[in-house]
Amino acid sequence: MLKLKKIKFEYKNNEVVLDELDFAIEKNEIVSLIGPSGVGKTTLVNLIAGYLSDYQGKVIISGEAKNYPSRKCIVINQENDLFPWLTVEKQLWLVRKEKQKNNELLKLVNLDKYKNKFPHELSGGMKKRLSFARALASETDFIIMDEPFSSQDVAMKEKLHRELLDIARRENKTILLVTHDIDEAITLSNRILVLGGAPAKIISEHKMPFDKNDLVQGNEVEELKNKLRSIGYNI
Amino acid sequence: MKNFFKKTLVIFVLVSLWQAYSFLNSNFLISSPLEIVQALISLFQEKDIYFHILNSLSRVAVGFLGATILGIGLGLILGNYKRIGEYFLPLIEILRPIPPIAWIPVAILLFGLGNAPAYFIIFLGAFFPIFSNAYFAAASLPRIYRNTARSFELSRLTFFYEILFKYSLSNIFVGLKIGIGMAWICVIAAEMIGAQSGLGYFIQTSRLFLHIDKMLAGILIIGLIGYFLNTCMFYLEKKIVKWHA
Repeated sequence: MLKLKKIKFEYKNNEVVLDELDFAIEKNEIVSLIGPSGVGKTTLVNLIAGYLSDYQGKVIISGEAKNYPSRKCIVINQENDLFPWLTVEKQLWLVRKEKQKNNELLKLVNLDKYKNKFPHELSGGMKKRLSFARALASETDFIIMDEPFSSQDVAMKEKLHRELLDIARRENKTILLVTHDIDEAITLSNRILVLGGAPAKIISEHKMPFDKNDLVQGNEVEELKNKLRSIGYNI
Repeated sequence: MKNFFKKTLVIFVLVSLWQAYSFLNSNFLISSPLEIVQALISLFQEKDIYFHILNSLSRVAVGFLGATILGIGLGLILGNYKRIGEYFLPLIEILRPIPPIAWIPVAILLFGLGNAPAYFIIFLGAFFPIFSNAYFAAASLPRIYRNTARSFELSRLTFFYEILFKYSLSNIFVGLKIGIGMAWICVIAAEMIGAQSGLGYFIQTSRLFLHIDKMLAGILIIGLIGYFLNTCMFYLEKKIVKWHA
């Protein structure tokens, strides 16, 4: 689904942020990308999404090398990316002109009763559910969730993640979840990629052996945290 | 009721003082508020004033409509394509501070007498505030909206209407409210100099014939219509820009 080959990106002041970055995500995988704040996670997201184009290397999505934004990859941001002047219904209509299907999607994310509301009339969690529904309406196969719930409280964050990732699994979507919360990465994904160093690269990769439908046992989480500590990840 | 009282108190006090002063000074050249109201009633009983009002309003409609279409269109395009905007902005920044009334001699030279110079002056008066507000709104479209629109592969037309235009609407309304006020000021000024009809022409001829009460009644009508036009804009904004928290 996604392949990154020898990615190198530097700022205009010649500071190299990402170097020799290689990784791949298979179809229907849910992969977490973790790393400390400021390591270059959002830069990497912008690069995969096609918002940045002046980099070296290749970003291949669904077999196609691309360096411009498209429906092949939709990002749900930390910031509110909903258009404040469009109602819930219109946010989806803008992306897909099929009312029936859009209504079903709104039902799926429990927003069917808020069709005529504007984003400012929704709670933070509802806004994120709407962003997610809009991404699904675009019929993309690949969604990047860039710390989308960082402004939510812990309980709400976990609930939203579980809800939305369940939908993503059912809809056969591939997800890259960007976070700095290790617990979240462990409980929600099939695989964890750790971004670290300066310039940043993938410094380790961990497959999650346990069943994602069950709550993760405390010792399994601790085991992985110890592993991450051993490679110098600050937890 | 309380709101109405607040809005009218200052007007009531000032008009009362003016009426009292007129009553105490019979040599005062300016007509009293009561005389103006009497003139106003008689003006509306005659048909002439409707003709002048309609003429002024139709001139404003033409000039303001032209300024709205061109101001919003050009503002959004140049604000969106900043590289093109950079070529035009210096010219616009030089023209913008020139009072529209200063263009009256040029307008008469270019278009002669009649409606055309008035349209031109009204257009100039309304264009710059509408253009500036549309331009700066479009230029400030947050990157996140632009990127989101690109990701969803919106067509250029959809982007312009659904994203850029709608994002800019509340700023555009700021421009339209200033623009309609400017258009109304300009039509009166243009008619005082180069027209044979309209409220500007009416107050000018009233002054020449020393019909001070009619002249002041004409000025009052100008004020009331100006207030009405502005209120219409506020109402329109409230109806259209619904998403403001």
